Amino acid sequence: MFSAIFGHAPLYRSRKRKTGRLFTPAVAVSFAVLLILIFTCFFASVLAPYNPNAQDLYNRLATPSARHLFGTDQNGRDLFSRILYGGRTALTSALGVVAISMIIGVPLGLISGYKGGRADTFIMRCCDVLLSFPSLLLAFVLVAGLGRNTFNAVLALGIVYVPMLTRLTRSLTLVEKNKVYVSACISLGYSERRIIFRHILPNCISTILVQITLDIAYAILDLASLSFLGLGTQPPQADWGAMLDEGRAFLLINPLLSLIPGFVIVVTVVALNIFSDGLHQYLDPAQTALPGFRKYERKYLKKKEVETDG
Amino acid sequence: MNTPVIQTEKLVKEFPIASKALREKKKLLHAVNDVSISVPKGGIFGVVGESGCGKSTLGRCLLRLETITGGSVRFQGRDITALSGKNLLPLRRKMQMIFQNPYSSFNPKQKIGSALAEVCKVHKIPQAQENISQLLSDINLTEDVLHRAPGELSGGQLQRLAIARALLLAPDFIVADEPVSALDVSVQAQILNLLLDLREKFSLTMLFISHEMTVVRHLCDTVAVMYLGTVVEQAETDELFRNLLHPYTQTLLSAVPSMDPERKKQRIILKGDPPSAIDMPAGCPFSGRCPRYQPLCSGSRPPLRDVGNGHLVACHLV
Amino acid sequence: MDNLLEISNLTVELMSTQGIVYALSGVDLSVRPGEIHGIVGESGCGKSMTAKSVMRLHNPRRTRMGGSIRFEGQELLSLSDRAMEKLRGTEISMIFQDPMTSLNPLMTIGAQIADMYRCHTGAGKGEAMDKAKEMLTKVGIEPAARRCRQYPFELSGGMQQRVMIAMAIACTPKLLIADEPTTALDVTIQAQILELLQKLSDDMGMSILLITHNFGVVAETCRRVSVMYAGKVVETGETSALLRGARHPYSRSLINSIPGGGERGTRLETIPGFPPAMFRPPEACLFAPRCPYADDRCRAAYPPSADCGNGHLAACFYPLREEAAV
Repeated sequence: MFSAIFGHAPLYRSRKRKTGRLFTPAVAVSFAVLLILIFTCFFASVLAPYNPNAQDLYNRLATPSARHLFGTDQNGRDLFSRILYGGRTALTSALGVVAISMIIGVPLGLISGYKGGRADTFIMRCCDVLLSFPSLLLAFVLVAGLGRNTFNAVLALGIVYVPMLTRLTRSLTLVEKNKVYVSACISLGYSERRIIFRHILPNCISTILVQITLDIAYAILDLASLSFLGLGTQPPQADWGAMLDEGRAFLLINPLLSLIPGFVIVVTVVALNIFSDGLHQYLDPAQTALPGFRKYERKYLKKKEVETDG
Repeated sequence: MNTPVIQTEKLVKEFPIASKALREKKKLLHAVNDVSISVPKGGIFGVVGESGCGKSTLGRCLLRLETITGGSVRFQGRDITALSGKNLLPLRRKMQMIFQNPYSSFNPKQKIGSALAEVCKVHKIPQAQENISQLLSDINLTEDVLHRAPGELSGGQLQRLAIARALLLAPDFIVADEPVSALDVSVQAQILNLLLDLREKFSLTMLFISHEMTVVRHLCDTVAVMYLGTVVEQAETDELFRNLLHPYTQTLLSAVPSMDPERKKQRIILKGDPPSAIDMPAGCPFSGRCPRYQPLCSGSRPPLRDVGNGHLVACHLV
Repeated sequence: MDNLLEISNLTVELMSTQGIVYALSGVDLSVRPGEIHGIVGESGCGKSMTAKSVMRLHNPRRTRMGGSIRFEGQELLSLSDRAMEKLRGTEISMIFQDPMTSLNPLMTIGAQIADMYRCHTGAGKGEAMDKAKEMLTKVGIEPAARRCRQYPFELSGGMQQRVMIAMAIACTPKLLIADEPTTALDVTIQAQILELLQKLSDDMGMSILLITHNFGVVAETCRRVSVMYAGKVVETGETSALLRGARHPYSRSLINSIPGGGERGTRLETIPGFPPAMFRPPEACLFAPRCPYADDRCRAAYPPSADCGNGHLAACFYPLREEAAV
């Protein structure tokens, strides 16, 4: 019905929105923050002034100065460099977690939702089993079993995140499955595989994407928790969570040791949350933030004036 | 060749209803009850009835989009009732469906051109581009619609594309499930004209399902009226509308609001609501609401009899 | 005779992702007391929008209304929200298209009607329940005492629509707005509901503004009808006169494209082209691109409503004559 208002001219109608854009100020700022983080961590080897593991025992627990931007830790290692390298570990690990959960969870959810019956019951009960454990505890158990290192932490957390993603995908699939275009595909003789992956999946992907953006944030936090407890990244490797833990002993002497990694974690997670929110608002037409009339007219009239002047 | 394109014999389709209590006996929704129809080649067979009468389910059963509970379906003489899985695939190419809501018949994230090309790819139709171009001109649309997503086109354009998509496979039989019900009146007229044109050009055989008597009257050669899963009356269109025999058909036609305000209508207003298809009444399905009800109507189901001129009626009182 | 409802130059603008949509650009409509007035048109023409505007049901942040809507002489668009709330349900009521989603699934139908009554009259529980039973009987739901305790999902579509109507007339409004009340219902049920609406209008002297896309419905129930196209009323008049010979080319083409008149298998008349996009207020006749009789005058300015006699208005520079050749 909405398209009835817009007119059905056979000529090309611009798909770009005039209002309700993705990059509202909040989203733009958070996106910029994320870009900066990604950039600096990616180029850590270039930007870091020192080797993150290089110890300078004469300069332990130093306060920020021209030589050490954030100061040094208890072993004289440059905090700034450690933050940069730690960020690289944190971000790549978080992406790894999300990637694993996506590769396993999304296809499982699609098959479970589409096929129904025994396959659905089996997959859902497996998910129930995984979900019955508190997620972090389950990760601990897995890491303890597999061995304490970054890779195993990522693997364990990835498995822990699978059930939620499977459930989400399954419910989206159930909704799409009953739509007419799926019946049309069946009547056109398309194989199940084609229907699931080429037709249903693209229609689910936007909601999954929003969830994944949030999951990256959760993964950063959970990985930090794991490292904090000694189950993830092992010393001397730089990692935000581990740094948080190591800095605890020195809170009264040099609080920056814990504060700075903590602050960086908070900033990253908040930025991811805001970006995810903005993405969700943009994709869901009911929630799109539209400008008021006065604001739109001011902008539009201003644009028109500029066009006629220039 | 006088074999009808599609033929059903005492077709039955029941859906199990999930029972709420554990011990409760499983209930069945009797969607289609003992329907036997036969569609000749080149004909447009109309099925008309209100919601819940089973006409859509009948269409889906003919296309084997549903499993058949009882009876048989024959396509070009061949029994297709029990086919499943891979065996159905070659059949799909020969029978196609046009759905009611054009907007939901297409994948909203797929461009039209891609959707049409996919059909050709899956069924290995040669010279896809030429076929598509030719069909586009048959349905009076320009090639730029190929680059649009379904949301950018109007209902009328999309329904035409749905028809083109069905025709790409050159099927022998098309089921049109209320193809114009979701469209505006002026667009409806365009689509009906298009169907008439295409019928001539491609000698289509079609099952046209609708709830509107006026549309069915305009388009179809033969009409079957359904109520609660059974065919209550069936005849050639002119014969049917000249001579309405079954009380339900008479009610249905009288209930259609007339454009002529001067005509004082003797409208038959039915009391109450249709009975549920789960607990079917004994005897004639229409017995609960029939204005000409007699006690014998609740006794046994009236069979569909030929009363002359190929006019079939299922009523004890006719 | 004073008009019960008088809409003059109503404009509604909506904010959307594509900019401002001029959904209604100057609607003129009037409903007399006790009259059933139909608004007919295709999807997107603005008929539902008009109905919602009378009740001021729009989202105030995304909508901007202009013009005037006078109900019994009182200007509705300038009323405060509180005053408008008092008016809704008591003086002006509305029923909607899909009865299934319009009723609260968690309350029994008796409770919903009683709630409505109590809200506006402050009556006690017992009195309100009695009123609810009275209303159910009035709309033909019997036995009222038993049905009162049923939930919406236990009723069929036709019954649900009757419950909606019962709720709407509980406080005896002067005007009932029916937004496509029978579109989602079967033809036989539609006949029942239309008969009910007509009976209520006669009994209570209530005016009904009936919105539909079905000319048949209008022919049967409405005394006067307005045809809308692209956000404006293009023709208004007595139903019988309009159906006999519509003056506006759009109305005439629309009526001619309905199947049922001619021979079986003949081509139906269609309207070429597409409805316009409504991103600009109209500067010319909106039907001109599709009209076989349009000329430069039509493309230069929007035609004012021409009086074709007997209060029959058509917004066209060259209204067709009644017996013009098809």
